[in-house]
Amino acid sequence: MAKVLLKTNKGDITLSLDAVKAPKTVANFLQYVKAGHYDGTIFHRVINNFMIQGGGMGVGMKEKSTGAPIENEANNGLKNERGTVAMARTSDPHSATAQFFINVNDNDFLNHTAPNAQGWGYAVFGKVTDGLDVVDTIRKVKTGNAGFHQDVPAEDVIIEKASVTEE
Amino acid sequence: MSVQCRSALLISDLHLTPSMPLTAQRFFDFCLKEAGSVEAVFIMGDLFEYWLGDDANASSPFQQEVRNALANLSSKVKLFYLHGNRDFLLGPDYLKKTSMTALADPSEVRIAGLDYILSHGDVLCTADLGYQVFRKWTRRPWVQKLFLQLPLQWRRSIANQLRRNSAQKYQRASRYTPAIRLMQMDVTTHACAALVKKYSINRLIHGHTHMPKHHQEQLGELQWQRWVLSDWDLDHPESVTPKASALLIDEHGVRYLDLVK
Repeated sequence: MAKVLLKTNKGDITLSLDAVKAPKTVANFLQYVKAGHYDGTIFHRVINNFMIQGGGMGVGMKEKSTGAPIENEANNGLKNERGTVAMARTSDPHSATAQFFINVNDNDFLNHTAPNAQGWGYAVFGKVTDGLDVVDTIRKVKTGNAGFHQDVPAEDVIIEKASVTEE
Repeated sequence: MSVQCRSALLISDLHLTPSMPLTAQRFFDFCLKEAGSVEAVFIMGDLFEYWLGDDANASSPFQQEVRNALANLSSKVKLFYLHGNRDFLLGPDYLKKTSMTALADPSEVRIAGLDYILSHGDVLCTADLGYQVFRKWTRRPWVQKLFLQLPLQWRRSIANQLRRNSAQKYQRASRYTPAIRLMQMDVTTHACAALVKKYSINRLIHGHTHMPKHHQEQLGELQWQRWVLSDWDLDHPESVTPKASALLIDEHGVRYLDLVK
């Protein structure tokens, strides 16, 4: 099982990725990790009791460019439970690129229920196996508005370095 | 068990009346179009300009059209109704005909995994003491029962008199003390804080004040977000910039959906 270490300014988070259940999503994520895409990005959408989302914005809320969107593998049976990591996307089910989120609660309503825009859900592709306490620290930070964005941490929560620790 | 849904649209203060046909048309279009894309629609008060009882004008073409639009909408989505200060007499008979579920004011709901407090908003305008006394009286079941037993003509003239008085009151107040008027007609931070504390929910949505905005507020240790819904008016472009919007909530967050097109 591939492992990725996220070194953040709040502590380390280890993600174990499920390449069997979510092969395309994991391959996509690892590609961004290896390219150094996540280094210096922030958790820009933090909602206590819901999730923490990051991987797409730099400090100052500057959006980073990404590669092509990938197929949504939410129908793989993995559930959006506390501590799992899933791909963020727009309202188009197959629009995920680099942004991901970590569920801090059991978010049943994000699970796949039907192969349509309403029910496609969010593709879980791994889980936090170390550093859930760091995730809990992040979800409780003070948030506010930044431009059109809500729930943006008042103080940057930065992913200083993302690296593959196990292939 | 409180109300739960994955996605929702919230609207209020449409003040529907036959004399505002463009606004009404936008509502009918909304029911057919935007409203169908979510799991639940919350109408948070003052859908109607006034309501004198479920029996009043029930057979007018306008009322039939609104009723059909609501009944049709509730066959596609979960439809909730929270009473406003103008249509608080909208009764069980009407709710049943349109298959709407009434919500108490305030109510807690869970949308896309997060908890919200919903209120029409008039109950939060605690600086306006005169209104709060009036509100308490008019929400008493026996007062309402008595009123609804009066002939329609009487009800109409009482309502007209009340509206005249209230228009005069706010006009007079605004002429002499604009700041006080503004304060009295908005919700108070203390009233919001009391709700946030009571429910332990830090997301509040209301209408009534016609001042749509997202607020980030705090009082002492309490912090919360507050979204105010917009009123609708597409019929007076000469004096009012056309306005109509809904609040859209799903897993992507909360945002205003502009319905002026």
